[in-house]
Amino acid sequence: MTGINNKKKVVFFLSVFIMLIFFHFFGWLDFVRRGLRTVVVPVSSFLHKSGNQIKNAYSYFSGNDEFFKNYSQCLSESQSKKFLESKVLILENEKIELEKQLNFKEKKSIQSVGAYVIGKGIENAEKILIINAGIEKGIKVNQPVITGDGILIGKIIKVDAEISSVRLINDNQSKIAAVALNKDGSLGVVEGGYGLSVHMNFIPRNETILNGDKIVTSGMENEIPKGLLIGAIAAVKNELYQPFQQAIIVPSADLSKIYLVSVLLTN
Amino acid sequence: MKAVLRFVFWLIICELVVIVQFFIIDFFPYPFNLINFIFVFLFLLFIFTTVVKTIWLIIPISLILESFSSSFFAAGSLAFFFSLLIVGFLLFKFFTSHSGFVVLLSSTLGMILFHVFYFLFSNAINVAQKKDFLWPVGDFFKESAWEISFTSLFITTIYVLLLKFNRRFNPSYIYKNEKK
Repeated sequence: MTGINNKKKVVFFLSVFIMLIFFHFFGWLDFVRRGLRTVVVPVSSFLHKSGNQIKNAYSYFSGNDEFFKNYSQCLSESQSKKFLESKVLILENEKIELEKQLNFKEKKSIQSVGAYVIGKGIENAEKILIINAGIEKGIKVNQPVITGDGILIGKIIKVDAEISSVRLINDNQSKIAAVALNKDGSLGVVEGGYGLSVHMNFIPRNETILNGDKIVTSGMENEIPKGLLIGAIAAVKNELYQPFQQAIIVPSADLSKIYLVSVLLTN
Repeated sequence: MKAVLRFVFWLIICELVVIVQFFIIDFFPYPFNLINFIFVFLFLLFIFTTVVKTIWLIIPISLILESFSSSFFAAGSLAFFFSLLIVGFLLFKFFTSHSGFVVLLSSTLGMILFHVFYFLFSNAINVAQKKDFLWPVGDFFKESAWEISFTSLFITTIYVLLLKFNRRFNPSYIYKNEKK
């Protein structure tokens, strides 16, 4: 008798559950979700910020040797960058002159929305960040998300009224059209690998790519503009029996310690 | 009034469980941050209370989690539901001893079933939405193995500790002896 009652309860629960799935599909449960989120979102935001601070403090004390090594490397890189900056400035002035001569219209700058990271995705198989900006601030699906001056970290995949989900570039389902800043301008697709690596695939075998070459977005996707920095090549796999080359990329941003992002309102 | 208070109490418990999960994700180092505390809570509640109470709690927990996940609401919640149902059937019909070893075995099986169902349901929704079918490759198995092993060990440890308190410090034993 108890077994029959339990079976009836389980069947009743399943029917209620299926009904809730339909309600959720039509958006009738949004007010319930918002109500439940009001408690969780501030706490998750505080926990995420505190977690990052603790990780930063730990790496400061535990990695002194590596810290000094990275510091001296940064110093030498900044000196070479100063030279590159001056070259870029000269090229920009030349570009402006050429555009004037060809009567090009100036491109409007892309608007962006700043947001704080308030949590991470709950599933371990997906690398997702939750940010505190949503439909109310003009955010839409597939918009690129950057940090710093223009380092691409991911794309918007889900938008609610006040929060959005960002799929990071090292997520397994992330695919971004990219180009290497080498002499061949090699095109490829940057894909993630379960949060542990970022690869650039489908690079033509006859093109030369080297360690240290910068990878930027190619602009071939509608919503992602050209020129957003993704990372630099750390290793190249070029096997004779494979039709394409593959490169392992080190992202320019530390994807585990992001707390402030900008969403480019490209669509 | 009592029913309303009980409802609010369980809602607060669901929120706390999700907050603890965020705490584990943000503060614990890899691979310990892979522990699935929500499964730990549901499984232990399942063993110490009733099946029905546990599966009703899946709904509010899934509604909160859906905001922090890219997958559809139904995928995670149906995976919890079916994995707990199958494990519950095995626990109450076959493995009735409820020793620590049985709990370890059933929690491992429950986690494996959860992953399998989650993979099937989320891909079914992807196919229904005309997206790509995602095959698990490479590091997926490594990360899942860490999650299953740490979660099962955590459940077993908590179960053994709770069992000591439940049996030794349970005053109902004293009352039963006094009545005799």
